[in-house]
This record gives sequence, structure tokens and C-alpha cells, in this order.
Amino acid sequence: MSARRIVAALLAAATLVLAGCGTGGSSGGSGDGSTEPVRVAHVVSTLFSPLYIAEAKGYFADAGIRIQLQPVKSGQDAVPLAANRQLDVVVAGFSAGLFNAIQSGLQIKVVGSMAVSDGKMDDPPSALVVSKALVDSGQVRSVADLRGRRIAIAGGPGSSGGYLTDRMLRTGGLTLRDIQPVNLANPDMPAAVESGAVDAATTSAPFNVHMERAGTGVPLAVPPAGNKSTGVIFGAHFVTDDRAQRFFSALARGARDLQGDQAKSEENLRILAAATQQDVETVRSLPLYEWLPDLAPSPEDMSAMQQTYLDAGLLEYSEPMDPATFVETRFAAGARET
Amino acid sequence: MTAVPAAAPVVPDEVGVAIDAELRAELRRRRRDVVLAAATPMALLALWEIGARTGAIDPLLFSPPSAILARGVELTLSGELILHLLATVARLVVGFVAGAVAGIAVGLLMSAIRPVRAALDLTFTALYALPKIAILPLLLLIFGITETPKVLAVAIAVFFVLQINTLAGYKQIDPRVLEAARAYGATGWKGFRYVVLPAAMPAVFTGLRVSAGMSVVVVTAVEFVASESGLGYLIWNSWQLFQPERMYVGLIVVSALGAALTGLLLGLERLLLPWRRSTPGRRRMRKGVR
Amino acid sequence: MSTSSPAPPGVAFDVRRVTKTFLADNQVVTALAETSFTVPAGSFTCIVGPSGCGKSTLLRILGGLETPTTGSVRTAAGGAAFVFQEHGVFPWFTVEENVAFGARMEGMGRAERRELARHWLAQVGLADFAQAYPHQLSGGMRQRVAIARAFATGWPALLMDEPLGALDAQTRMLMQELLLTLWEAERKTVVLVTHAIEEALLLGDRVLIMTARPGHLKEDIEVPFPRPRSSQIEATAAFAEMRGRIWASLRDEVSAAAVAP
Repeated sequence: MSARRIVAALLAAATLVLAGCGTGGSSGGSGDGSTEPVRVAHVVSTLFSPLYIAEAKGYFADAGIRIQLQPVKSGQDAVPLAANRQLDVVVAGFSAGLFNAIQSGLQIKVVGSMAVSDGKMDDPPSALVVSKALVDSGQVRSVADLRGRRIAIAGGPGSSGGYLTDRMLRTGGLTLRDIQPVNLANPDMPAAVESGAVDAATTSAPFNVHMERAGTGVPLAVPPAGNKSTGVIFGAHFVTDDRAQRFFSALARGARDLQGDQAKSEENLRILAAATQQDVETVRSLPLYEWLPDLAPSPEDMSAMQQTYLDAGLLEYSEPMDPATFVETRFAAGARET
Repeated sequence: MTAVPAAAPVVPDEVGVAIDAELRAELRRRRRDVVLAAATPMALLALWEIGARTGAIDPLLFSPPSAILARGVELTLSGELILHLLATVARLVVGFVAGAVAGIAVGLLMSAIRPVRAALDLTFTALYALPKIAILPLLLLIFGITETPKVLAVAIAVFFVLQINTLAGYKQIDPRVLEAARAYGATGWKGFRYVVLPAAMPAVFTGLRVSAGMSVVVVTAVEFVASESGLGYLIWNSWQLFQPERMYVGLIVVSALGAALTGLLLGLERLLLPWRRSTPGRRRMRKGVR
Repeated sequence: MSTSSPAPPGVAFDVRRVTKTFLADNQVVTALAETSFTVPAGSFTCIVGPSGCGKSTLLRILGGLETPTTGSVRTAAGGAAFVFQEHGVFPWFTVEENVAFGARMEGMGRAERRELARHWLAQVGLADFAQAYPHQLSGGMRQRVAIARAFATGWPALLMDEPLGALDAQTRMLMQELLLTLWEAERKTVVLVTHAIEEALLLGDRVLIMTARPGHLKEDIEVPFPRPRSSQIEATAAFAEMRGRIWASLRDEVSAAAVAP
């Protein structure tokens, strides 16, 4: 019967098509190819300034590699692509999704850290900002009074913002489970706090600054000093690539240019303004983060994040993973030697 | 067909056998159509399953259908899926009905009153092209993070489709039909109710079916951005937390929802417009009317 | 400039120097040049003429669907029911609802309407199809519905614009016989526009021949055949002679219309 033949032909064609796709697409699947650009996904933010500095000042070119920057809206979108060999590097915030992905077997490694909090209350780049109306009325005097309230977090509780929020809540004896997280984008937070749609927001510059200056919000807490919840991720295929160390060392060179007073040099400000599409004056006036000069990853911070997400019920597993299984410190060590 | 000569005796068996064979062949062909239609997705699903099991496609990212099914059952039993489904359906239904009623009303107004049509036609055509998902941030700003912006986004999307279709339905009415109406005293309101309205109905129903699909897209997209519940939220949130199986369950349920809505509207059309010839070729095999 | 006073007794339509012009593509088109005639009540008048001569326009003026540009038409009391070539039957109503439509617009009650419709459907031979929808019927059956609807109004005049033009030849012959039967029972005033000379001669008491555009009355011929008539008269010599006569008169107009835009 001709119907059978048609079905058979369909199956054959579909098999061919499916076999073709799947394991990593077109360019750059193998470990070699020094002329191939390194594909780097990043979220556009001053959190990842070393990347922009290194790129603009030609540190990657000096190391003999080309990079291809791919802006993404959230790191979580890019992580599976790195595992699937469609990207090499992801520079973004860590999230509960990352832990789930690693635990389920996705082929990625955490190789570096990015922005580090300085723990100071004055001029913080990120903060837990509370509605001024609530503070004025006396309903909220400290973090502990946030129990049961609605707090805006960019990316939801499973994001790095969720982890930050949890750390800040713990200063008042609360955890993520004790509040109501509301997923909002950073630009929408000032209006939401002002209208009372949320009681507080975990937000970063310039929005926390805006709220303070406009008198709608009061910063109640900042992330603890030394907190690292963003970083650099390599696809497992890239870890063995001979460009990997050169890439990381160039990146760390960018981080070194951001140490101490020279962090806000005119040249740096120009580069960051262009990279994040703001004007120089704005970047100058806003607080900047800090970075380790070797961008070393922190297994301890990873454990802390994992525990936070576990406690909040956001992970698919119950036994915490040993960070040594997915954190790779040798690239930072290699960067120190250069 | 076999011609029966006047003088020869009629041989009913031969003719009867021939007709029987013809009927059975046609039924066989129709059964084959049904089998092919059902077998194709099943074959694709089977291929997917095999591919995922053998590693030809990454089972972490493209969860095998069996795992998706298992997860779907789990989500149904825990009640979580129903909750999300109901949240989406609620927004969908309210937005769809509001948008459709408004769109049809305005479309009819524009049909009946020429100055209204002249004033609004161009503006609405331009506004129709705006992606409704793009105006969501504006809506959130105005109405805050409540259900209103989500329902409104759906309603707006549906409104324009229905307004345009209703007006088009009116414009394509054969003027000879309108003349016949006038000839028999159906003028003014009577003409509108008994002639213009029924004549425009098929276009309205086409608009309803088109906007049904659209509204599912819009509500899902809206739930990506500004929601803590609903199928769109399930899909997006599952991916953010790296739970691909849940995401696929969400995707499948959304598709089924869209299909169900369209099917419902099709059924409604058959009920309300029994005079519509749905498919001219599809005559049941009985004595034709002549 | 339209129907002012009612027509004198015994006259259904009194047409006095009627013309019709309109704008098309920014040009003034004269559809109807000055035309005058009277239609006696209870008579069957057929109008023949080349395409574009304005006979359809004339019919619409008689029925009040259009107003003449100059001149006047006096009509007898009661209305005029139209039968169009196609598109007159509403697809969203059942056959029964279609037939009762005119009555419904005049405010007749439901039970009365149903009886009225049933009666006329029986008259045209469609009693079994009362609940069917028009798309389920053939063209010939739909025209029967249109005719039934016209008669069901009870109005004294019937205006038909090439009602059988869309039908195949055999159905057309059947319908001509139906029209004859119905008319001879009711004796309403009928004005029928047609292309077919045989049809005009078979059905009418009188044939009005119109010129090419701008159309006006060329000839007014009385049809002498006695009633009741049947299609058998088409075989007679007298019929052929009349047909020849009409065609001779019409032919020049048709060729004139054929070369004009």
C-alpha cells in the first residue's frame, strides 16, 4: 500500500534532519582553531566591567585571540548554549537554574568571579530599598519588619538577585521563604515601589540611586562584603581549548585596571559608558563595583548560593553538590602568573 | 456509468456490486487519511524519543516525550498544572470576550455610520500593526502589576482583529443583497438586523478564530514578563530554573489550549450559522438534492 | 420628481417622460432617455432591449428603488414585489423564512406567516423544502423561492428583472410554465424584463421594445395569443412571425449596443 511507503519515507527524512541538528551547530565545536573567535555571552551591565575594559584596550588581541560578544537578557538563557557548544563563555549572574543545570549533567564549569560587594552602606551599587512611605509611617524600621511583604527581585527568587536578597534578609533573621518575591525588571522597580505595588526592591544602580534621590525609597540593607554572585562560566568543551587560559588572563588584566583609584579613570569611564550605552557623566556619578585582580572563583560563595536556593525550595535535588566538582580554579591561578 | 439498454433485462447484482465496491474504496481512502493524520505526529514523537534515548539529541535540553509525559502527569496530580491553566484561561477568556465585544460593536458602528468610519478607519489600521506585546511595559506603568494589563493586552489584540473583520464583513456584502432587502421593506434598523448583520457574520467568525490563536500568543508572552502564575509563567520560569521538562509540558498545554479554543469557535460557528456551507465538497453520501 | 399622486383607476403604472442620468467615472451617463407608457392593472408586460438600454433601471424606478431624474411615475396603491435574477434570496434564512420575509417586514405575526409561506411553497412545488437553507437548493429552486416570496407579499404588482436568466434552458422552460400558471390564477400586474424574445411572447400581453443607450421606447407591440397559454404556441407560425418582427426591430439596437462602450 502506498500509504506505508509514504510513512517510511517520512521517517527516513525526519531521521536525517534530526541527526543533522542536535550536537552543536556550525562553527567552532572543536578544541583547536586559534583563528576562530571565542564566543562570549554577557549581560550588559557594569557588573562585568573587566570584560569591556579588556576588549576595548585590546588585551584579547594582545593574547592572540579574537572574541565575539553576544549580549543576552539573562545568563540563564546562555548557559545551555555553552553546554551545547554554541557558545564558549558566559559572563553573567549565577542562578538556581545554573545549579539545576549542573546537577542534571550539563557540561559547564564555573571558572571565575565577577563583581564583589564592598559591604558599605554609603553609595552601594546594589541595595535592598524600601518604600519611604512605609518607613515614614513606622511600619518598617528594620529588615525584620519585611516579613510577609512583597519584594521585587529582577529575575525572581532563583536569580542572583534572589540570593542577594536572601543574604540581606538574614541580617534581620529572615530568609527568602519569609517574604513574597515579585519578579520585576530593574527599570520597573521605582514605579512599583512608588505606587505601593511592592513594598521593597532589590535593585542595582542607577535605580536604587534614583529612588533615594527622588525620595521614594530608603536603602535598608546592602549585600555583605565580599559577596560574589556573578562570574564567568566556560562550556566544558572550552575548558580544554588552548585559547581558554589566554582568554581568562586577558580578562583578568582588565580586572587589574579596575583596582583602587584608577577604577574610575577617564578612559575606563569612557569604555564602560560605551559598553553599557549610558553617558560618561552618569557612569561617573554612579557607584562602581569591585573585582578580584585574578577574578578567582569562590567555591565557598557557590556553596552558600546553593544552600540558599536549596532552603528556598528552588532546586530539583536535595543533596548539595560539592563545589569542587564544578568550580575550576586553575584559570585564575594561571592569570596570576602572567 | 453502466447504461441499461431498454430491451435487456436489468441485472441489479452487477450494479449493486459495483456501487458497493466504490463505497468501500472511498471509505478505505478516508480511513487512510485519518491514519496518516494521526500517525505523523506519533511517528515524529517516536523519533524524538529514540533520538533522546540514544543521545542523538541531547536529552537534557530536548527532554524525551516519555519524560515530558511523566512530568505532565506529576504536575496534574499535584494540582500545579491546573492552577496555571486556570490562571491563563481566566485572563484569556475575559480579555477575549471584552476585546471581541468591543471590536464587533465598533466595527458595526463604523459600518452603519459613515462619519465614524471615515474618522477611525485609518487610525485603527495603523494601530493594528503595533505589536501588542511591545506596549505591555506602557500598560504596566499605567495600571501597575495587576491582572489588568495582562487582560488588557489580550483584549486590545482581539479588538483590532474583530473591528477590522467586522468592517470588512460589511464592506464585502453584495450590494444586490442590500437592494433586495430594500425592495422588501428591510430598511433602517430592520435592514441592519435582518440583512446586514447576518451577512457580516461569517467575517466576524473568521475574525474570532484568527484572534483566538493570537490571544493565546499574547497571553503567553505577557505571562513571560509580568506574572507569577499561568502557562506562560510556567514555561519561562521553568527554563530560568533549568527544568526543561516542565517547560515542555507548558508548551504542549498552551498549544492544546489554542487548538481547543479554535475548535470551540468552529463549533460555535456551526451552531450559530447553520446556513454556512463549511466545505462545499464534503457532501454526505446520500441522495443529492436537485 | 417621483411618485406623486396615485395612478388613475385601472392603471398600475403611469410613466410620464421619465429620464435617468447618473455619474460614473466622472462622466454623466444617461441610462434612460425620455420614456412614457402606461401599464394597465392585471396585465403582463414584457420589456426587451439590448444590454445597457436601461430596462433594469426602468424597472427599479417603477418599483421605487430608484427615483427618476426628470418626469414622474404614478403608481396604483399597494406595493410592487421584486424578483431579481440572483442574490435575491437570503442565505441565512430558511426557505420558509425567506418566503415570509416581505410579510415579516410588514409586521405579520409568526403563525400567520408560517401558513402564508407554506401555501406559496406548495404553489411553487417546494413544500418539502421549507426548512432547507438556500445553499442546499439548485438555482432553479432558489428562483422558485424568490417567486414565492414575491407572491406571498400579496402586493398587486410584480416586477421581475430577468428572473430566469441564470437558469439552464430546460429549467427555464419549466419555470416559464410555472409563472404562467401562477399569474393566470392571481392576475397580478407583472412587468418582466427579459433578453429572450420567446419568453416575452410566451408570457406577456404586450412587449415593449427599447432602443440602445440612451434607451427609450421604440415599439409597443400587442401579443395576440389567447389565454390560457402553453409552450405549444411556440411551434405555431404566428409565433414565429411575431418573433421575426420583434427581432427585426431589436436587431439594429443590439448591434448598436454591441459596438458602443
